[in-house]
Amino acid sequence: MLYCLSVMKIKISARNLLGLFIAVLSSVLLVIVLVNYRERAPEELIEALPQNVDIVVKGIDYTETRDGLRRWHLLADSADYSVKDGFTLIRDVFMTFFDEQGEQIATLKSQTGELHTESKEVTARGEVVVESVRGYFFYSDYLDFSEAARLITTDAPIRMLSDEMELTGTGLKFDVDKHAYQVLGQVKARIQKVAKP
Amino acid sequence: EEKSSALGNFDNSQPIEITSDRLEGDDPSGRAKFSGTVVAKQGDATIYADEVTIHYSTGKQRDIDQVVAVGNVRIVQGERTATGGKAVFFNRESKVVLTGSPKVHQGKDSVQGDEITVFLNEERSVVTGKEGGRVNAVFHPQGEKK
Repeated sequence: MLYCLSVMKIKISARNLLGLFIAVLSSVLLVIVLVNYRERAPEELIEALPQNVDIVVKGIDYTETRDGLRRWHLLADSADYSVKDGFTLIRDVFMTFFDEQGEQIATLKSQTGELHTESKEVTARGEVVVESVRGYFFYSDYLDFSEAARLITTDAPIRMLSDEMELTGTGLKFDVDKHAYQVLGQVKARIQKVAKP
Repeated sequence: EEKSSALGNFDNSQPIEITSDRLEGDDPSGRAKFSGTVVAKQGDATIYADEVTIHYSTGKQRDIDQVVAVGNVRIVQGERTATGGKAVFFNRESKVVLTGSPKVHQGKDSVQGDEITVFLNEERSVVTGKEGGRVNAVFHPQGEKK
């Protein structure tokens, strides 16, 4: 009987020791994780990665805010972040632009794009369509958006469409906030509905 | 509303076709400025100018109020040609007011003054001269016109 007890004691103490060991190990791991990753913002985390690493992410949802207000919002189906190039290649892009009161003013759709989070710029490529809430559309092969300038620009051929006017040209500067635009060359416009009957 | 006149078929509901080097649009203010070798056509009237600005209403629907042409303005409609430094085209009234040494030619006839209003649906132009300014008109008898 005594023997059983001692064997049992040994078993229990071994189990306790094992349990203790696991607890200590996981708390050490926890501390390491907290120390190493808690202070680091996502960007720093990414920067810490080796240069040849690409990250593939499904479902990008990125919002740029200023003074607590949304300035633009980007959705993309998938993204490849290239540490070397420092930007994210995105697919099936949908952007929404907001004015200083947080009201939606325009949207942008494209097949692919590049998201440069540091310079807060986006390049949109492939069947790019910009739609203004004022009821006109711009179509082009590629467009660049700069948050700093709040401009959508391209040097590619563009087409503009509204209820009253259809226009083609080359090159565009579109001020997202002011709804003002410049077509930079070879302008051909046709203004349909001209006068009230 | 289409009015045919001895002069031409000017119909202000017809589309306007414009070509130019550049365009600046400011939709909230209802303005689209075409600049650089501008050619604007509507019906049988064509405006040539350095710059043409379209002013339109910005309500539910964008309707053209005025078209202002500036710089080497030349308006051609059938046999009639009007030139001047500036022309304001009132779309609804189908008329153009020319200033800046305006002149209108029709065949060998011509009129000149300080301001000329050309009615695009009528064979009529009104020439006015400022105080002390002179109106000058040259008309050739019917026989000599050809």
